[in-house]
Amino acid sequence: MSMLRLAILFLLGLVGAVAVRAEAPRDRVHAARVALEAGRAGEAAAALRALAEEQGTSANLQLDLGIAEFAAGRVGEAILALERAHWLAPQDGEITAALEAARERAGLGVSLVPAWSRGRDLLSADGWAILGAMALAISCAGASSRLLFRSGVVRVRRGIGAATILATGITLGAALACVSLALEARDGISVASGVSLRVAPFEGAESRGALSEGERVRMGDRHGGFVRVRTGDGRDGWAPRESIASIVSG
Amino acid sequence: MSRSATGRRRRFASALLATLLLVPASTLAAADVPGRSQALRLELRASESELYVGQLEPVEIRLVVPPGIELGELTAPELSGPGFTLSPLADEQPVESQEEREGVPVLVLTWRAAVSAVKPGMQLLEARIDGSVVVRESPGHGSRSRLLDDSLFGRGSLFESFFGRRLESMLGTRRRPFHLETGTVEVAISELPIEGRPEGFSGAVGEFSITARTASASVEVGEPAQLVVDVAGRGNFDRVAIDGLASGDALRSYAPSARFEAIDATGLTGRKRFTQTIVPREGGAHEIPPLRFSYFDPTERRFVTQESEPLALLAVGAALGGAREASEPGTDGGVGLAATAFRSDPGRPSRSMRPLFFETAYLLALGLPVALVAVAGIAARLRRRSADPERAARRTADRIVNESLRRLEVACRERDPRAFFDSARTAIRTRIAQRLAIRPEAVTVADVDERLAASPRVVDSLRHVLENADAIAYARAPIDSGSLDTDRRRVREALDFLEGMA
Repeated sequence: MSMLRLAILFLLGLVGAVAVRAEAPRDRVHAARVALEAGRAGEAAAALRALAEEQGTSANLQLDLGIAEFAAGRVGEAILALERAHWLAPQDGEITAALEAARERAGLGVSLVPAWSRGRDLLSADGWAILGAMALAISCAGASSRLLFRSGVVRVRRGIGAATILATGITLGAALACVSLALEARDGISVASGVSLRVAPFEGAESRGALSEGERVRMGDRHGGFVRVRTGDGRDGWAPRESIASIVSG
Repeated sequence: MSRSATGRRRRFASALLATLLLVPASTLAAADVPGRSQALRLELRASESELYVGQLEPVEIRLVVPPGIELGELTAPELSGPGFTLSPLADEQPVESQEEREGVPVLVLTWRAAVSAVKPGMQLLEARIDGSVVVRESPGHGSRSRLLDDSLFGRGSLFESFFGRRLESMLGTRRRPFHLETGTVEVAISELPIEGRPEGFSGAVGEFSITARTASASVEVGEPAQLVVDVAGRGNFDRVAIDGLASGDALRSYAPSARFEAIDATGLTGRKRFTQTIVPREGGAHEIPPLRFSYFDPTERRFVTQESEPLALLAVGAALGGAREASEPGTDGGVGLAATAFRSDPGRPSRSMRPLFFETAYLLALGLPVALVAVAGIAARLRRRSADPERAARRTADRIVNESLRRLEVACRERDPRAFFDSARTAIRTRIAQRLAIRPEAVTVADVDERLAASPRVVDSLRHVLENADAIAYARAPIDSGSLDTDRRRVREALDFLEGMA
């Protein structure tokens, strides 16, 4: 009897511990929100950053972090967080609106999103990867059945053929989306203000101009403490590594 | 313009159809022609003879057309003056009016433009125009026309052309080009005074007024509101500029954008509207201080500074992150984003943002269905091959030939001619049957002769083996076992030949 009680107590404790652990991130986000409403944006941003480092990140967490960073005046970090949120949940209209608002208020202008990119934003990168894998599996299964079973009901064979063609089309579309996203995964955000774009990867090199804080760049080669970047308007040069943060972290 | 110039010219001309007109062929100034009322005149009228640098003033270019002159083509007049910036004509089509000059009613075509003084000192301004007039001749007036033509333009004009005269007399009209200039008009341009020039003076000269308003009386904290400032009046609006509301702790402002709306065609009078986005950082009532605008009044000859009325903007609510932290370094620009965007649910966190397609396991997993297709393809190919009757026959023949050869070797070692030739016959028949696609029992020596005629040596070997085999099997004839080795080689050669047959 005593053993049974002990087991029940142990199970209850385990459930309670799990529940407490599950609530902890929510409580910490709530605390950050309270700090933000009280005007302590820096404290809120630090709490959210710490939470992301400990528990991992999510679109919601990055959105909150972006709002807090923006309120704290760290435009570059704010846009970085919002870009990460958009990467994780591109179909989320609120995140997109917050990102565009932050860019506009930072004087970066609203980014012009091509129509095909809007279609790509229906799914996240992982979403496209999973869809592509599933479509490929169906396509291959259909092709295999056509190879192995050359006789059978004509209607069934035609159905399998149509499904195979459809799955192949989806596979190709998903592959294109993945390639495009793979290129974008090399993008970064200028998190410092007045970052000089230099013609060569060393401090004394001639400057070609400067990056705006929060400006999105595509990162290329790395050399020493510098990374080669290209801006959306075609400028390129070398910027210090610590001034450019990759959107896709981890 | 009340009525079109073309229509008026046509009516005007039709009433004077039979009239002979006197028009100079080259540059014409009114003073050059005797009888001023009978000559085309170009006049330049400016409202002021003294201007300040930057001042925009309207000018009128007037073409006076006396009765009896019918205009043909007419180009737009041109203004020129090195001390001025000349705006394009307000209208390509002139305004027509009737006036009386020296008791004679004349048609006046008027173009309006504006000039901006840019260079101090005594500056010259002039206008010119090119066009043509229509000269009509009625049969009863031909001698008079020619007489007057000659008296004004002299002989040697195009009217002396025989063919021209013939054609013109046939049509009863001719066109005469003209070029008119106004002569120079002197305008005194003065520098703007330095003394009393207000701070923030942008070079506006004229008479202006300033008003300001907000697009809405209240706005949420952190959300943008529009501050609209109108500067209206008369003057050089291209130099009208305002600084707008400066950013502060309570209100953040952005650079204003401007749009000019002209009231008249020359752009001299109108309204310039400045729209500035302001964002309240704190809740409560915010006062927008008066906005100043300074200009130089050329009539009063002094600088004037005007102020808009102060405005109130009510900011409601408290946006998330709307407040700035003074203790944080580099917090300039800390304007909160939409309050509703903050989410209390952190969602399902993930350790990495790297997409799946960068993971090796994912790429390997993608290989599985591809491998499945490859396996299915191989299986299908194998199945097709196994179902092929030719291949099946070949496999069976190979098996029988190999078994026969094995027995042949044993028989050769044991010097058993019966077993040897029996095995050799089986092997050769089987191979020939497979190659010829017939049954082994149906293979005869005649088949060998016919099908393998191209290789007599092989045929000899085959005949020898088959005949010996038949002799032993059916006649029980004695065979010398000493030649078995030679026969074995023959059998091997024959089988190799048969195997290599196409």
